[in-house]
Amino acid sequence: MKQPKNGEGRGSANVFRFSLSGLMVFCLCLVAGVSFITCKVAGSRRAWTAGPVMNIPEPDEQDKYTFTRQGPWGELLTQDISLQRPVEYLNQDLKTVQPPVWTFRGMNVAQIKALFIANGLPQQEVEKALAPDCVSTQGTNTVFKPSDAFVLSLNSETRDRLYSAMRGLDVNVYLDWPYFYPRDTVKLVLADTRPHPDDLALFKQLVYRGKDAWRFTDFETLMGRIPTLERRVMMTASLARQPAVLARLCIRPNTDIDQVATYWGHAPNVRFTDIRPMLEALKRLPKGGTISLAFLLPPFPRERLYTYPLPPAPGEPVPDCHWSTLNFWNVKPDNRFLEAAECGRRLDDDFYVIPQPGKFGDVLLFLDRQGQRRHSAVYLADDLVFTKNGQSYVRPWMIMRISDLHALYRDFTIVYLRRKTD
Amino acid sequence: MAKLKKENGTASAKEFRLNLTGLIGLCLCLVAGAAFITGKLVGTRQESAAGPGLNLPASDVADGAISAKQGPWGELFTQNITLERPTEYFSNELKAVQPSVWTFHGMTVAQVKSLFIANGLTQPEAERALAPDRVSTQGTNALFKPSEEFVLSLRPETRDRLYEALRGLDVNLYIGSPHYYAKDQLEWLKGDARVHPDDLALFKRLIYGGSDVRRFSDYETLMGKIPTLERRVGAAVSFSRQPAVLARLCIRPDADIDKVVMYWGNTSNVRLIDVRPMLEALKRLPRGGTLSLMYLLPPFARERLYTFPPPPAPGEPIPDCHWSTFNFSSVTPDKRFLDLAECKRHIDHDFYQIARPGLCGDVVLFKNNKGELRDSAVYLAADLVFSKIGKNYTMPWTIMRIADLQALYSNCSIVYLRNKTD
Repeated sequence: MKQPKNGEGRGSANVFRFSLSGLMVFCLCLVAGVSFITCKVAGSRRAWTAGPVMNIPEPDEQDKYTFTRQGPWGELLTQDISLQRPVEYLNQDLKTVQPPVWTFRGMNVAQIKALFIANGLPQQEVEKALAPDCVSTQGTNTVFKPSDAFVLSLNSETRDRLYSAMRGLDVNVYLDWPYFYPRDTVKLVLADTRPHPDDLALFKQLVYRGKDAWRFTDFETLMGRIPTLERRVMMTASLARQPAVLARLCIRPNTDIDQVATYWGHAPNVRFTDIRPMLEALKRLPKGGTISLAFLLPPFPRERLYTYPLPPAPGEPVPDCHWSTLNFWNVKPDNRFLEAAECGRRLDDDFYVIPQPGKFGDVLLFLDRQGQRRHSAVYLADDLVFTKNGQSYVRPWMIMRISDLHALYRDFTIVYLRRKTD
Repeated sequence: MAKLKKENGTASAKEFRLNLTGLIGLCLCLVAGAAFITGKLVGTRQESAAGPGLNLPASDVADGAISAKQGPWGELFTQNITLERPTEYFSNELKAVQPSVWTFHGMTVAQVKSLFIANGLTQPEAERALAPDRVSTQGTNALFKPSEEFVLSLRPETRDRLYEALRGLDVNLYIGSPHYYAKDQLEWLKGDARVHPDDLALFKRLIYGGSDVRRFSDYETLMGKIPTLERRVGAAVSFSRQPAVLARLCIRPDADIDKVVMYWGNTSNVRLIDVRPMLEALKRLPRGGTLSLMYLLPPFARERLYTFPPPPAPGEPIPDCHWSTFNFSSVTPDKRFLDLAECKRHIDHDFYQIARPGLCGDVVLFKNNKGELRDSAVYLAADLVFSKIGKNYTMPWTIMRIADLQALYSNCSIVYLRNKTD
């Protein structure tokens, strides 16, 4: 670059001459210098800014998995997660795999054939499936051992239709309690790199789409076709995901603490004196703060949330949903609620039906087609419940969305109950 | 900008001429464009970088009340809060304020007098304070009812020296366990509208201690001079503030879960099968997530964290720091730890001394200059402990920073212990 000498032209002191290469070098140096400085400044400023980890996320920081919602409970920040079953619980179960057995209670082969045909299978296929070497009788029950070929031959629609028809008949535990993947969570399984690709391909063939969720029922068939324990464990670890929710209460400097404390503090064994100081401490922070919902729960769920029951000793009952629901407010669990009859009595005597849950502690009861109480959960706030799914030590106590629970118990009717003392 | 013409009038393609304005314009455009593009690129990269939210604080950096710390425990975010005692605990006890009583166990009046003189009071002052209408004997103990004049007359240095000498002698609850305030907390108190200015002025006369931490022991005297219940409650609530910490574990998509799980799952009654699924669920989130430290604590601590003990029935012991420390990993609290002698036996038998805490569950002991236990807490991670200060139902179980606890027990030495089974 050079400036023209004086006398070479009008205004020549203010004119700069560049060769092409000189201009390029000049521009590159300028761009590089600015980029470097911008990088440093932007990086260090971001490093000092507190994010939504402790602070309440702004609307543009929220997405469909992490969002806030207001109500009488205050402002809840929820984050969808999926829990996988602990690997330690899988090794033992998967060492030997039993082939599937379907037990049709009080039904004969002809009735089963009619059931199959009524739910989408052609006559010919039914005859082949229910060949004499695959069926046997046990008292008034017919036992059917579906072959791999039969299971694999079903297309997604037929599988959904047939399995839905058999659900609730106590034919097979996986028919009654399939793995289910609400929303797009089945993609997480399909995208998981831990299972063997062949196993994932087989899973893809067997998973089927219901009205509101993907389901997977043919667990025994899948496991039977996976040659090694290690691969079975990996596949099962990926399959056994349960949608759950991490929930936090947001307290802003202008939050009405009285309203929030009233909602969460009215319940037995939840003391205002414990809740209020925490909420007020957060309110005093310049930007407010959040607190895990677990701090607002009574001792029973607080101690158990996101933990698994211990594997039971032989003959020892495993705490189930009803035990968990009816002990929700207890400091010491009452083991009478391990018995269905006692649970029924307590629900009949101490609760009344309401159209919708609206109070912390309301109960959701899931009734099957025969009116049997198959599941219960405790309403927390918004669309969240505290639940223990199934009488199994491999399912934790957790918070779920009502819609996900409904998808799991799709064919059941929900009844909402409130304690007579509320 | 113009290309330089050759002498024959045709333009040289290899030379560029810029006047000053043009050069400035070109530079500005280059600078603005480079800064904009670099800023966008840096922002996008940060957003898609691992992290449970945007713009996380760098490790070991504090941003106001929030700090992040990396270690074998993972990545811990902590937020300083202040807890106030529940108003409900004050209303009753402040309806009728009892005057202060100092009980000198196993001491005569003469010995008490000597103690006073040895710690800053002049002979006449001591004589006047310990006038016959102010002292009495109860068995082997001397009882002293300090007058308001005496308490108010103490110079700050004398108050500091005398009360330090009395601490540990179990003379009075508030001398043994004073309220303490960091410097910025006192600034806050000045702006608290709940405290009447006269009451604040009186409070300022009564606080004592160093420049970093001030203490307050003359609670009964102050309350006795406040004329109305409403003012007493306002002052008591405001003065009852204590520092605490909200802590969350941060799990990024690239977090080493094994390391984190091994740290937190090493504590008794914290099961790896409970901890791992939660952490892995967070790791699978696109930006990771955070989890309240509460989920990683054993049941005893999980159930009590940020709650207050219920007011005891007459004669019923109050759970104190040692009971809390040695029951930290208990499923069912062991009442033997209400007895200090039992705690000492437990320490001698089951613990060994270490230089610094490093495992969740290590014990932090505070001993006075006579080797007597003054306080204990359980080390969690970073600089955090699980603590229950004092034998007082109005103090909650909290997470605190070791430094804050040290400030409270500034005249004590710290000893770190580890369980022999660890």
